[in-house]
Amino acid sequence: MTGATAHALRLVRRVALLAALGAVAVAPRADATVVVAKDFGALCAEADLIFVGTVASTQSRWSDPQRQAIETVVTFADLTWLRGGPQATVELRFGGGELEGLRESVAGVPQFTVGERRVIFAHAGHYVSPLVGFSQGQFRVVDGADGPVVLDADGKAVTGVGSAALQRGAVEDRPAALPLDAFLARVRAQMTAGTTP
Amino acid sequence: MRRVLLGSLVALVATAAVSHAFELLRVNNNPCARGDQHLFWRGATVPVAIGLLPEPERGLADEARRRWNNSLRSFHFGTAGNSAPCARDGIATMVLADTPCGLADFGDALAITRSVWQADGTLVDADVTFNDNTFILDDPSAFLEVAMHELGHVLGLDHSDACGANGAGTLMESHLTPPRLEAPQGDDIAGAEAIYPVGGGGGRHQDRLAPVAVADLEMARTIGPDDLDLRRIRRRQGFVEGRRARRLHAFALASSSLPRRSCSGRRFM
Repeated sequence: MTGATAHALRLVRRVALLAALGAVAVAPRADATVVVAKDFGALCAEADLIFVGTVASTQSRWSDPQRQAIETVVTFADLTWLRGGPQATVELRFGGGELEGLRESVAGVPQFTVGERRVIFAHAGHYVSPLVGFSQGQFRVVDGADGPVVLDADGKAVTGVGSAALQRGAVEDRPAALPLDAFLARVRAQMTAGTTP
Repeated sequence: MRRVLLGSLVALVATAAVSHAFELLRVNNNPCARGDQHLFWRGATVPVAIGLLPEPERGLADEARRRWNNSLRSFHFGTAGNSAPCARDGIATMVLADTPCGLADFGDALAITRSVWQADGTLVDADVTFNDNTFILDDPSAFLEVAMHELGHVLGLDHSDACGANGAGTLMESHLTPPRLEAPQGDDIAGAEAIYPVGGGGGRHQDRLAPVAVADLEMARTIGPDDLDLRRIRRRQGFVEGRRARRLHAFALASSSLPRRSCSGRRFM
């Protein structure tokens, strides 16, 4: 093998490696079929309302006088506000629900159960789903060994928060999940970083 | 160096690998409650109305319908003529609008499918609304994939990543990830055939469930006057008219390059 050939071979390998790494880097979610993917920084930056709250009630009703659609009003109480507020309760409206024998849903719109506690990143206003990223702006708060910890909407443990991205662990892996206080501290830090010029 | 390269390629393949992931829409709105009855169309068919879509979206939506049909043996998307966009009429109406029927702003959604069903899981209606203010209107391959995804919801599929699986490489993943998919994938087809088993005689549920009450269907048909929405949607279509020439050109380019032979998703099983 000549020196020139060896150099060319090394160059080809490097290009192949960079291409492979580039493909891996591109592979994570970019855009969305129904929603645009949001990283942690985007959740914090785009939300008008950020709070921790307990679902106090869910109530379905017609969303319009023509009865074209059903919506469900979810009331959160026991609130800890990080942005917005500071009222004692807050209502968010989601498309879908059950009324007069009809059940209606919009795929991807999150469901809520009375009594559960969540961290919410939401837009102010009236949307099919007001959560930032449609369903992405919500995290479950559950009991851990030493206090409340944070899972994502799919039940995966939130194990860390990088510069903008969330690290996720296994489903229901509560020991690995970030404590709620630590998660909220990351949110506050991200909010501060997002407003610093 | 070779090990690094090999490791990168393995990681790439692992990232792109399709895991078994399909999830079904279910009566209690929880796809993860697998003991609950899933949603289904009696007769394993539903007519699709695309007449309210402008071109090129109408052609792309019809292509999405055909690609599903070419992939499925036990469910069929039919065609319907005119349909009111917001009526619960048993027709899967596809429209382009700034807001879905009776609902508020899309928020961060590119398109939504609103499904209506009865307590026994019988689907009464499922309509698709595309957000008229997103990049998919300028990207025919993205619009086609989104249309196929929404038709997956119409037939009864939920998001493949709804219950913890990553859903990568499936049409029903809630996010659009590169590369673009040109047909339902094996996991999507497996999900559809879990609802409508091959050889099931057009819907296994038909025999064991009570007939849909006529009164219920009549109620569904009479709810929601649609004239106002029809006018609004047509106004929006006029609004997007100016973009049509550019999109038609893009559509022509995309149509010539879309591989029709990949319509059979079974190739991916």
